[in-house]
Amino acid sequence: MTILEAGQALRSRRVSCLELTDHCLDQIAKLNPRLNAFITVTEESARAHAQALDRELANGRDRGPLHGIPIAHKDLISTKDVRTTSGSKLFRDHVPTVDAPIVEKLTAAGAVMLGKTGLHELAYGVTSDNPHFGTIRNPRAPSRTPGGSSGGSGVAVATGMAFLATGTDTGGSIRIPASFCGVVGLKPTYGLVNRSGIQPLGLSLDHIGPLTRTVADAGVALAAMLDNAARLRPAPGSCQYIRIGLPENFYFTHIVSEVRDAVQKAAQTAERFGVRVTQVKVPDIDALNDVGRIILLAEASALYQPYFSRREDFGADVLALLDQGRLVPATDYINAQRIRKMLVSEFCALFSTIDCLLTPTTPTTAPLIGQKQVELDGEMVDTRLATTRLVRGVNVLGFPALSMPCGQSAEGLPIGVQMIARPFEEHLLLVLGEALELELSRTTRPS
Amino acid sequence: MLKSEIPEDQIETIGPILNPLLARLRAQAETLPPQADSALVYLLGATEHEDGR
Repeated sequence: MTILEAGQALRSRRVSCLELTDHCLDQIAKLNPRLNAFITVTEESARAHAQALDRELANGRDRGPLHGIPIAHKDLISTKDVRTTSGSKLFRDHVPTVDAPIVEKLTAAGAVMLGKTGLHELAYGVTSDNPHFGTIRNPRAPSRTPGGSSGGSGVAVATGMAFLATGTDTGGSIRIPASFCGVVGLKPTYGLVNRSGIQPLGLSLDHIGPLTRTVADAGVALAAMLDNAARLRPAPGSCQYIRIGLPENFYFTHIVSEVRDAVQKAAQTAERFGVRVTQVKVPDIDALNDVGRIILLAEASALYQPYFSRREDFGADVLALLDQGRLVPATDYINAQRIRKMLVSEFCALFSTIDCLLTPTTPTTAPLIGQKQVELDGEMVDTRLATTRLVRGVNVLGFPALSMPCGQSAEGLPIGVQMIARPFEEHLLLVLGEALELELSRTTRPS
Repeated sequence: MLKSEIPEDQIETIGPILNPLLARLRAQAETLPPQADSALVYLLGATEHEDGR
């Protein structure tokens, strides 16, 4: 069931907010011991809140499409009186005294918080294999990673433990778990969603957004998260006005053939409902990724400098990255920010000829837990670098990007397609995504 | 300069990862015109709603 379907069921009295919440809590009780999507479950307060929202509906107060919808927050988003660990030993006992604004907004919209979802330690990684809170597992294949860093959010949404989960994305951390778990993930334009009260990682790269089961639900979630919807450009009147660019360089090399085929099929599907698809040459993505890595290494290490004396409190992979960041000279960080601006200009020029870039989200389906390397075109590549290869650059640009399922591998693992648009053109992504989702559902059932 | 708190064995493992990355970035930086601005300047406008919490 989607958020929109649940809303219809609520308003026709076929189900209550409490029943929806209990259904999700049952799913959590059944699946979380095996998949480890949640660090904290707030069962008692969720049920009490759902009952209060049922009373509101009975009294004629309807808060809108999220009224009574059970959701989860990534456990680096501050929740008043509910432990917020950031997946780290450093913050194992941290209990915020106020909600982050995004939590306030979703609660005001009527959402029921079920608890806090697990993540890669400090959101600094893509496996969600957490040394402090345990390994999060992919619901399609529990021996495989759900991706990260918002791994628990991806699993919660994919399994019906929650209708919506919040995520953060500094180098792909919403879109990667969306791709590996077979759900929708939206990384909005940089700065569009208020990130106050959220544990930062890369101050000039961090984005906040939703993971949901459908594109329409992602639109509902985004609308509730915004401080100022007027910043968004209007939706196109029809998909026929949308120009998709299909990259002829970078994005379709060094990926597994099943992913390449599924994404190219998605482009052909879009053409069938009237979108214009043209081949385009994209600017230097390798340079964009290098810039993103340098900036993140330096910014993350700057943030965690006060904790460097507590080396034993970090997992090995995160500590290694923090050590690398400490050795990035300020001159290189500043030059990375200068190159960044130049690359943004090059992408703006590309987007004067297209409205949307369509690419794979990840070059592979979900790797095995603990897998250090993946094979791409006969070459062994570090799993983290391979997994972030197609998504990291979008954080450097700050452009919005949507990942949605577009098929599955022979093994039944989800494949994600990524759509990237100009800043504040989230509506275009949502209109295109919904149309593609509908058309693909005629031939594929991704979730 | 402050004494590094990073253990020697860690520094040895960092070099092969970080050095090629820095070398590529520096090669890119050499192509920048002197007046090239920083992206941080334009990003400031995107965070205008930060309330300090």
